Amino acid sequence: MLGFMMVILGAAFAAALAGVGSAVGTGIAGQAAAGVVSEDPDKFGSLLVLQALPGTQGIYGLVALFMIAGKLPAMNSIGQITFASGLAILGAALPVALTGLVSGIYQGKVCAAGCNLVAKRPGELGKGMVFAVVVETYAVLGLLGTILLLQQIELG
Amino acid sequence: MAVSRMLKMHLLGHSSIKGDLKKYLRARGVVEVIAVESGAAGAAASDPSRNLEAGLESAESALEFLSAYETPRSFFEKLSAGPLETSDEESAELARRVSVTEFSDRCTGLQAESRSAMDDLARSRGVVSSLEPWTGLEVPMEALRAGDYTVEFWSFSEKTAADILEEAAESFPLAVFETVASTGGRRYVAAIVSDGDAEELGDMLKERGCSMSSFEGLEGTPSEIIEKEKASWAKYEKAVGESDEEARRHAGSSDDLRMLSDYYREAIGLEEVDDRMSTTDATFLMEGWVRALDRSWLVRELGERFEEVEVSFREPLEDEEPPVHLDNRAVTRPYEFVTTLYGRPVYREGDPTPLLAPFFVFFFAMCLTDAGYGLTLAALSAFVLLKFKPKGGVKNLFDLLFAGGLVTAAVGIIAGGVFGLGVDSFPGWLQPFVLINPLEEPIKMLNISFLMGIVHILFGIGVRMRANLRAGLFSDAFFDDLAWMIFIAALAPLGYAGILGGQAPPSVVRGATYVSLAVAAVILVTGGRKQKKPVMKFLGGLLKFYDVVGYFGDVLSYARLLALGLATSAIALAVNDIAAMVKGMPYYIGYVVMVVILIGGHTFNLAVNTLGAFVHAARLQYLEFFGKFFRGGGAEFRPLRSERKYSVLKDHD
Repeated sequence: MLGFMMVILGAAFAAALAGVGSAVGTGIAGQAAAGVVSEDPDKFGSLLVLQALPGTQGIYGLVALFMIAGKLPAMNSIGQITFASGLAILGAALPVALTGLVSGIYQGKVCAAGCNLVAKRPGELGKGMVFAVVVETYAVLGLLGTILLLQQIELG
Repeated sequence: MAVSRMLKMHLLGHSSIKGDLKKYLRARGVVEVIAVESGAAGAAASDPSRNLEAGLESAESALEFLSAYETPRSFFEKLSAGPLETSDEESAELARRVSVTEFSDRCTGLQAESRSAMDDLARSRGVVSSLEPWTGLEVPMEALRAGDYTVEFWSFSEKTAADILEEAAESFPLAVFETVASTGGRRYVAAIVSDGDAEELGDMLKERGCSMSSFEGLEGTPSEIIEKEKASWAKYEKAVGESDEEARRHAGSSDDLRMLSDYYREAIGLEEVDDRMSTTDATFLMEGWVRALDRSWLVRELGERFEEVEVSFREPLEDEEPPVHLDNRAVTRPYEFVTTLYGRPVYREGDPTPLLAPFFVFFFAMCLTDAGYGLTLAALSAFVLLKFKPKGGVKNLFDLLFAGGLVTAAVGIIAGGVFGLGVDSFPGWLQPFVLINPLEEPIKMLNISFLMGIVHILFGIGVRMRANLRAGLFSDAFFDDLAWMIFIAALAPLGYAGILGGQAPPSVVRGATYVSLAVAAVILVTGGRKQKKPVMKFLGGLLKFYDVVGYFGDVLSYARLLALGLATSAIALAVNDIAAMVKGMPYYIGYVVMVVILIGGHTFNLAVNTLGAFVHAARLQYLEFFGKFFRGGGAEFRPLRSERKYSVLKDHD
């Protein structure tokens, strides 16, 4: 059963850590956005876009969770998962978990700065988004790393 | 081509036609008026323009106040309502008839009246609620204030009241404590205490959590006061009601206010044009930029309408930087949205819009990769386009989403995804079109993504090469651009076989190896050609190979096409799984919950991933593609035109 536990731990890490990154990131961006909206309610739409950007890390984490869950064998043979392969899954989950956690938070900060940018220069939403997306690249690469590693592991 | 050719216009006219000419140019919206170079001193804000500004301000503040009183309209009413229509004459007539400053003052007055009545009402209610426990006291309040003693009104918690009162009676034997009421868990006690003891008693009771009410300034017994206060409520409520009623009545003319706001805004805009013109007593000189293609009809129309006007055009000078107007064909015009989000090209640079359009729409589709989502997106965009008829950038955005949705539908079928259902649910005739399942063969999809990236990057370098050739920089074009294009193209199969572990025919690998070695030699020899010292020439050539890292990173960046596509399918799959789980709930509740989950989940997924697909497809243009050839930084062409916030002008011709 130790192998099975490791698999679950890996899936949980991916979804939870990346989710925390998104939660903190959208939280930071949301505070900045609300501040701007208090001065200019018409900017709600474009600021919502900025707030939503750091939300993707959580989705990447969930994608990894589903991919890991899809690897699990039937219920009656989960005991046959070896500790080594379980640990391998846990390791494969780390790229998306850690890049999601950190990039989510920092993307949130960039988005908060983007909110200030939009407050001062309403036409520059696009540039604010591009700055934020540069940060997200590393979460994308993390997810990619996880997917590629998962390809190499067979369970049960 | 895509950046419109611009001409500088000089227009000299007689002062008598100035107003009409400005209005005419504004209606046409083809001239960007710039400050006349001779340095016409901008006159200080004239009186008429100050009046106009006051009018605009009043209209806006009245509108803000009245917005709370307008009859709220339902979502569907808003959907079906057309825009507010007006004409210049109608608005001018309205401005003559209605004094918007008076109206706005009346609104401010109403606001003050209503607020003061509400404050009075709140104060009165407060008095009543704090006096209510004391109705047992049948002494007029003013009678309690006489002499060397004070009457204090204390409330105790019922639990501790007895103990505290006992303690207080011991400490202050001269004080009298009279329980007036005991209700709602509180005991209300009137304390008669000598002035000397009052402060000490107060400190003691407060320390034990009791609270004191003060009824200073009130006259009559508590019951009398309450009765009197209650009688006044109706008066206050009526006052609030009346001012609300009047505000609601005024809110009926909100549309007039909107027209007036636009009227003043436009009038101010025209006044501002004066600041940029150079004038004498009898003439004015206007300078501006006009698109070359508007020249002939503009000259003709000016000649027909105005007699006392002289207009001339010339090409922009070398040191002039004309504003940039992008002019693309209908198919690529929507992608101007992507370009302008980044910035405009400078006037003498090409417009990258047609170059990025096919890549953008295809990358967008790969990030979504679901035929169901694609069709939904296309349908929603079509609805918005047909229903609201947006203009300018917004129209471009929805055109783009429409096209993106259609391409997504095609890519989604090839990749076998419809609302995350998978290939098996496709009708038989559609199945042969399904070529790949990214969820099961992500590596294959990854290779396709990288291939897209290589094509995109090579294309970008190719564009730079063309620009270099045109500029006569042949060595840059051949040794930097062409050599690197061949080098990257040759390295691609090597990377595919060597790094990704793909199966490539040995002959191809061998050929690619020879080609890349040959080109590498060329790069080594020519890379340092701009350095002066021989050693630096060699080192420069060697250092050039560091660029490989940059290109490698660029190609890797296209992995997001796979990752985002997978994210869409995986979430769609998860939504379907969860929906299937709840289906079994008893009494058919399961079906209701299932439908809610399906609609909510897929809507969320579509929204989040459309946003993601857009930004990531755009990012690939901005960093990986534009980085190869595009500088940007041109100023937007802003012709003098009608800038209305609330209303549109009726078409009269």
